Amino acid sequence: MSRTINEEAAVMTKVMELMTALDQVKKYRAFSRLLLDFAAIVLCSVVLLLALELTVNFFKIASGFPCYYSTASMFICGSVVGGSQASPIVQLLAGLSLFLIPAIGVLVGVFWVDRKLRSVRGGEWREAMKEGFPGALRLLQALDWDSVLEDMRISKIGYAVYSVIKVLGYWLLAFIILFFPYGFGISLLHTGINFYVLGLISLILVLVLIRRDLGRRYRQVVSLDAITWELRWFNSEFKRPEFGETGTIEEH
Amino acid sequence: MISKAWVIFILVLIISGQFLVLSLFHNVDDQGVIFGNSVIVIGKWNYVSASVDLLVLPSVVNGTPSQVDIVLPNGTSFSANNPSSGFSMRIKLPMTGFSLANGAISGPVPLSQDHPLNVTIAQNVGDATTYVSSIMASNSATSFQGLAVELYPIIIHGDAQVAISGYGVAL
Amino acid sequence: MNSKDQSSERQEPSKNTDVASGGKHSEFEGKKPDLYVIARIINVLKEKGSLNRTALATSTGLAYNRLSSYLDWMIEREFVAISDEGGYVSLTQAGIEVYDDLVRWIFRYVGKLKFPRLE
Repeated sequence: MSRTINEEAAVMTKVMELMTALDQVKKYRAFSRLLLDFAAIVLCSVVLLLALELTVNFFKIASGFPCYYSTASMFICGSVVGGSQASPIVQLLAGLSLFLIPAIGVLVGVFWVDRKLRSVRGGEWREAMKEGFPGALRLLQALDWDSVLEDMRISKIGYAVYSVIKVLGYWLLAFIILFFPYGFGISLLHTGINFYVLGLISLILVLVLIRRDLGRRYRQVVSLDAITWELRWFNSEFKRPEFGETGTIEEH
Repeated sequence: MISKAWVIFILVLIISGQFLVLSLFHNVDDQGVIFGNSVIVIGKWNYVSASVDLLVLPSVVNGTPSQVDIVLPNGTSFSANNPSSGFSMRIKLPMTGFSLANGAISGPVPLSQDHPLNVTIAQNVGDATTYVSSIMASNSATSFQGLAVELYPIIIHGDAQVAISGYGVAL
Repeated sequence: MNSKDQSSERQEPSKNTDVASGGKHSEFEGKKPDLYVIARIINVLKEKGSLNRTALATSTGLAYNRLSSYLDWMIEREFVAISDEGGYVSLTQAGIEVYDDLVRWIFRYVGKLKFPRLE
């Protein structure tokens, strides 16, 4: 009898661990879906930036713009030839808009994803666990295993994609930050800026700085893999004829 | 309700289209200090429609501003001797032809499919008229399948700082 | 639920120890009764001892008629017994054993699961 009580407690502990893991998987699944939202928001900001650039280009061709002398970038204005001039702040914003608009898009995307993720709740199963072993049994019976395994598969992909996006984002940021000191340092040596070298340096720097985070995420993906295999095995056992379909519990 | 994947696909298509249209726009700019007889040459393919801004600021030599004379491609001439305001104008160079052919030329004003609009500043060329004639002669190749080069020389006599920037759309 | 019960099953068909196969009653004919409900009823009886039907229905959270169907099914398989006085429902040894079997069965497989910690 006490052995059965121990086994009951062990079943409940295991089911709690399973449901906690599935709650986490639910968040990862929601996150994977939200990556599409994130991509759409960032792409919209790129569309907006390009539309602005096209509009200014058309203005320049047709009737001029408040910048009469410009450098390679159409947004940066130099000295004026008569006519009107955009204020320095407008010129600065226009020059920075090449980075500002996509950066705002990324920030809005991150905010959107974060807000949606906060609304993903878990733990509804705790109420059922209060019933003891029957509650744990009910939770196991109620699980849609195909859906659970599908969620795990998509979570793994989403998690891996998120890691890649994070590295790319940090790489771009490092590239921009390092550009100015690198350019200044190189100009002292009277030589040209090599963007490949700068790109490589910033990539290596980013990988070094976030190596622990990358390692953690890699372990997470491996953990998800391990859980998937465990659940696949359990699902096949749970569905075996002697356990469920004919309703007979037979020991072999 | 359209799925998110289709939304992303459509956005990527829009961005691709925008990049395509953006690639039709070309800009050039050049600046420098000139003295003596100088020639600014604007070159473009005939299928390009361009707008070019020119700024000429007379230099100050020994406290005296230089007298600068500017002769436009159509023969009109202007003078400038104010170093702060100088001479400025916008020149519209319309599209005069259409061609599906692509080509490239070298020389003082190189043109290609990627750079269909170009400017060059040649300072202190000596006899400006002779220089212009030689450039026009070297680029007077007959048109090829409707593709032709158009050159617009601007002659400047005097010491000045010049800045020229142009925007063109190649259709 | 083990080979011993299967042989007794052949001699005494009424002692059908299939946990979830259909019995005489049309409620479960061709369908399986819910293992969770059976476990819940047994669990409540283990905790609280004998109860009348009404109290049992309240404790298990089941509708009275649904509880009655399950009790009829369980009586048929001698998992529970009804006293003559007051109609109190109590658990039999077979009922305790089937519950223990169920726990052991689940534990045999759930117990083998290993979950690495997810952050």
